[in-house]
Amino acid sequence: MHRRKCSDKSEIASPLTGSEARNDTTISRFVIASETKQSYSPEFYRNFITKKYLIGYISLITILLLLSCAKELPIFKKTKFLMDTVVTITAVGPKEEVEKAIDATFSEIERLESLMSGFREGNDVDRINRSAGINPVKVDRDVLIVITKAIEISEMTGGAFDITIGPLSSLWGFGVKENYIPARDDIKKALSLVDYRKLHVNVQKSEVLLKEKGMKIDLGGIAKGYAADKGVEVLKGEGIKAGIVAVAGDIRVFGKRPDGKPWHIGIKHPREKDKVLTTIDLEDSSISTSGDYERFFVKDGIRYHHIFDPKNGLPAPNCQSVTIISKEGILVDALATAVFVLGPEKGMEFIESNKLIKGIIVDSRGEVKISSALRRKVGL
Amino acid sequence: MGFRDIIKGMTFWDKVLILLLSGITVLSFFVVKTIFPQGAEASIDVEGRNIGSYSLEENRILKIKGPLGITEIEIKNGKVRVIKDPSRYKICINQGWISKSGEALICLPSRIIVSITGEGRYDAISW
Repeated sequence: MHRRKCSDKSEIASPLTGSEARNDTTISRFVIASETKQSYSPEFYRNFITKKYLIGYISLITILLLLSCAKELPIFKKTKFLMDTVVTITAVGPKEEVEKAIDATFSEIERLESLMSGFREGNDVDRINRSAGINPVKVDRDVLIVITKAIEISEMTGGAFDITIGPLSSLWGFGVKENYIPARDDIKKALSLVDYRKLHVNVQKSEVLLKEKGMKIDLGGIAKGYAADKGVEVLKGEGIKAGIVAVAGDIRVFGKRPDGKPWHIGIKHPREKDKVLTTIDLEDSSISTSGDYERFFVKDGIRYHHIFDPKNGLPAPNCQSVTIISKEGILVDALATAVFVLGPEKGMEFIESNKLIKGIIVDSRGEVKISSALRRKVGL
Repeated sequence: MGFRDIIKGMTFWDKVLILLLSGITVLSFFVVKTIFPQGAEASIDVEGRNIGSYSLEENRILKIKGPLGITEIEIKNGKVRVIKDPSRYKICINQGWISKSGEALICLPSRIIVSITGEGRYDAISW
């Protein structure tokens, strides 16, 4: 490279050749246009236009072009109807590798759905519910993990989250019945069957028992977060370094975007349809939002939605939406529901009491409360 | 005559011009990337199968056949919405317009998803 430069120099120093002389006309025009005070020798401008600078300039542009588009690995996204909602998997990497990994993730989530759905006859959840008050049921390891974790979260939140909510959610029938408000007595009756302390797990034997007849578990508030956890596990196992598993609004991210930035996640605005409330940058964590806008109807000016308070059997009235951020998907999914039920004051107290949990609460008047650890990170 | 002589021979404004031009060259890459976020598209899935992506720049009405019947999707001025859907509660019609990457219209009973793809502002949305 250096040697070539030297020889270039000697060429330039040599007298004009025919082809170089032709360039002079354009050069002198440039001289007249741009500079009148000081005149330059033609050699000066030839220096400018000689191959070596042209090559240098072109390679500079080429390098910039390459830098701006070629260095990043592509992001792939695939969506499927699973778990009674939409599951979107995002993964970074070469196409074939990513496609294989995404397919494996979808089949794992499909497997979890068949185990935990409340609408599959004969699956583990159905058998536990049918055997309520009769006998313990042997269940899959994943079901055991989810139920154990659910009881743990019920204890953490004083019963604000409770998977034995089944009789109550069937009574209201969101998504099945149309705008149905149950009678007080029916709610009372259903409530008497809601109590996580009557749900027993025997880890050694992999057995689960609901102690009273008529009791029902509903994993709708926790299974999606667990599916996001397991999805990420599968992606990582397939060699994927970065990606997102979003089971509806229960999202777990890992690694970084191909441009080296954290994943940019929007949080839906609870009242304005086309808007996000705020955005947050995440790496290796989970986020979940529970809102009164997902499944709801309005009757006589009252909004009825699908997040019930296990204490009184009515839709929890004090929040519009709750977003929880932590490491595990299973935890944020269940806690978003729990904090929603606890309401803005007690809910925020709960979030602040736990170092590993961050959160955003939009109360019933639309006021936004952000936990202290999150305030700096949120672009509100 | 070497590089040093060239620099010497330049006026102040020559240098400004060169700096300006190289500055513009570098900047333009970033400007183009942000102003034109690689054309957002509406990607349509029917029963889990992607049937294609449509640019949001081109106004049109798409008629998509799903298991329940025809769903009509309107693309207009960089936004998408569902205008007709055979499902009972019409949830995806009530969702209104969407335009940002990561957003999606979901007609669950009709098994149709319209999602915005392309280099957009969000990688995912928690709802």
